[in-house]
Amino acid sequence: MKKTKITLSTDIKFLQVVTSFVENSSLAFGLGRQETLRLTLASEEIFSYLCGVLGEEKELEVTCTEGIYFVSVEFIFERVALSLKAFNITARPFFRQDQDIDEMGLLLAARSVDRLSLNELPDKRLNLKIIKDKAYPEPEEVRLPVIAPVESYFIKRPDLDEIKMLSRLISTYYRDYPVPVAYTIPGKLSDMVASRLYDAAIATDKTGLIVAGLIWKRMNEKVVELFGPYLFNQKKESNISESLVNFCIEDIARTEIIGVFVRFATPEFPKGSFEPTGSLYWYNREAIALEMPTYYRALHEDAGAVVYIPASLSAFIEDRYRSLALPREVIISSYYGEDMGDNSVIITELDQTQRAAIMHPLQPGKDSLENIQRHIQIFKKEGINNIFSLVDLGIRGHLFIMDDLFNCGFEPRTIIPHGQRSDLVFFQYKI
Amino acid sequence: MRQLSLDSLIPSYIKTFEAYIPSKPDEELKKLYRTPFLHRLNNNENPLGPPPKAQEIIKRFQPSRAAIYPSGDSFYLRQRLAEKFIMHPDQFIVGNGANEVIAFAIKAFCETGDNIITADKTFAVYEWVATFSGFEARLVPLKDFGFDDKGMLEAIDKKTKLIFICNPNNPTGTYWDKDRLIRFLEAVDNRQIVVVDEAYFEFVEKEGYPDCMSLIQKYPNLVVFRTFSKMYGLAGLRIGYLAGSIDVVDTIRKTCVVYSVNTLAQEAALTALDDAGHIERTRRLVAEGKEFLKSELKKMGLFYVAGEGNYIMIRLPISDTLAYRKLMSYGVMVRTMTGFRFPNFIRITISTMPVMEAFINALRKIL
Repeated sequence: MKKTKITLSTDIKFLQVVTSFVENSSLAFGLGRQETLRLTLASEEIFSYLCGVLGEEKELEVTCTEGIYFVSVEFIFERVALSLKAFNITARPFFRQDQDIDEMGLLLAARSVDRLSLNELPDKRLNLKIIKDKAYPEPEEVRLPVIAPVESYFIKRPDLDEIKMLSRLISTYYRDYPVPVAYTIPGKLSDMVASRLYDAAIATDKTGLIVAGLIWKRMNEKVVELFGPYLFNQKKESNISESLVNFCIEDIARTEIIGVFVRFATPEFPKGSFEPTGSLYWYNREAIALEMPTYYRALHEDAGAVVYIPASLSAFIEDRYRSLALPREVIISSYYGEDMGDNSVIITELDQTQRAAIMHPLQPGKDSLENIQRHIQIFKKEGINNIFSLVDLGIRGHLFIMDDLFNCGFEPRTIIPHGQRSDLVFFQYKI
Repeated sequence: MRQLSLDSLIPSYIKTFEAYIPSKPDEELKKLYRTPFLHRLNNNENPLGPPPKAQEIIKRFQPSRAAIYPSGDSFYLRQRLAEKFIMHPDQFIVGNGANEVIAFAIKAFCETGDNIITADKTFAVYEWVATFSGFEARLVPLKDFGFDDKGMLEAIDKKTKLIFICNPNNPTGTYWDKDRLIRFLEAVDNRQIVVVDEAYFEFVEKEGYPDCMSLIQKYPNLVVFRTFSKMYGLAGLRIGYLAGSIDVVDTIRKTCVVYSVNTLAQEAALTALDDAGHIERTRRLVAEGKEFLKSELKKMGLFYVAGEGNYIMIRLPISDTLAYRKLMSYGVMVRTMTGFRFPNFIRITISTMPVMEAFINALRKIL
């Protein structure tokens, strides 16, 4: 991936340096004028915001990256303990107290871009990242080839033209099924695979006609998320689905990936070789929910783990560990009045395209309950109705926040064994 | 003081390489899976242990000798191997398990830009050593569960230095017979080093199965790997060896770390070679266990691949990693095959009949 980078001080005098840098880099990376403007505006907001939060003369790295189908801007800076509270998406920038109360911190920037996230780097610095996707033309209506059920097929990686055809077929055959929007935009899916952040496999008949496909992407450093398989007029009992999934598993079997997670399984998904882990609800704009079962498949032999959970999670977790035969030492623990800061910090990953927000607790605080409630209010107001919280059972701080999640209307829905430091539990807010 | 910038120090091929994490010790696994016993069916170990004479050597080993360095190049063992195979002692290199001699061979012949060729679904160490050393591992898909000679020949280019053939293949048990191997060696025509890994050589009784030691004289590019970990039951002492023509072995020796094989391993291996009765007893045990498993698996309607070697591969209707966890709770440890690129397969080591029965009982319960 191509990158441009500047290092500068958090001095508001440099605002124009940042905006010019982001604008010129984005245009050079092929982002459209409209999208460049929005990314530049978001960068302007964030830089002003960081100057206020971090104070003057702190070193800041700004990196623009061409991701083929997107341009990202990353702001990397030292973690400042006292100001972490400001990185809650709901926090009000103190230097804007005279302005509209609705204009809240990072949310302002998030509105202009497609995705926003804040991560802690291994060297303890923070990385605030915004992403703007390139605009792609809506596919025009074309006559698709007639696909007949096949007896024999070949599994392979698609070339870029085949990916575009795969996208058209997905949007035609799975019109009424929840499919990530990007997969139905041929040019975008093609660029997503070209970026190597996504991967795909197709099944073709002997003439090369695509009869089925599968898409997967890195969910984090340890887990791959799989979408599909998408079968086009093929018999459900054919083993095409299994062959596609095995192709993916064989491809990643000797890598650092330890498991495969599935949230968007189609009816043709080969459940037998996966482990059912629960379900998630997907709400559309009208808040009508579709319950999607989730699945997991470990790639390695499980080495066991010790997890600390509150009593409130016990029934859910014991049930999952029993059905998945996971060797876990479960220790029920709770908050026993030990020292805890006043302010909790929740890092939010916002995906405007899917109207989804994932809250990652960074540090517990006495205000956790109110903080979660504030987040929910903001999300609702923004029309985001798929609200999740990912809780890592290997992080002590997460233990304290689970009861507050329950109290705010969240419920545990599914689990990803060894999904991060330890098992990850997906909580979802019930609308 | 400057902060350590690991990123700038680590080669790109190491950054993307995932370290192999071995199983925890048995006692830890028993605690974890709450089982009072553990049948180890995961590593193709010999349930009879080392041959009796080797067991005597191990029992009699004097603790004071642990303070003395071993023979740096396994002097006496190489003499004995030379006698056994009617070759020169310098045609052998003994290593800390066959894994070590794999690394010696790759280091000796590959440099930047070179590649090795092997199969996609075979013993992983050839691929791993090449990859974490910065060389390309070209993986040719198996054909009907066996190594594809034509495909491997087509994959050769000017940068190919070594070709690894696992004969019989772990985990499928398929093998090339003598004619096929000779045709392959003729086609390679001394342009590359051909390594034949015969880790399971002593288990194979089929006519036509080649003894590569006897081919070294005619094919100077042939290198043979053997181990004391499988038939000879010395896996815990880590000892294996390679053999080849003098010039090739002299080259490989340049990359050897001497003194890597301990005294006890050398002496136990030396004695193990003389115990023919042990091989016969093990073969009978494997034949009986394999027949039993095949019959039971047929009854259960499960597909299996049972070739040569002391193992059998079974396809399950559930994920192999889930089956591993469920079988562990019954005290049965198997090898999952996803890491071998056989999703939903498990590999079972053939063991004694009571253990085979325990495995089948556990398998029936979990499916």
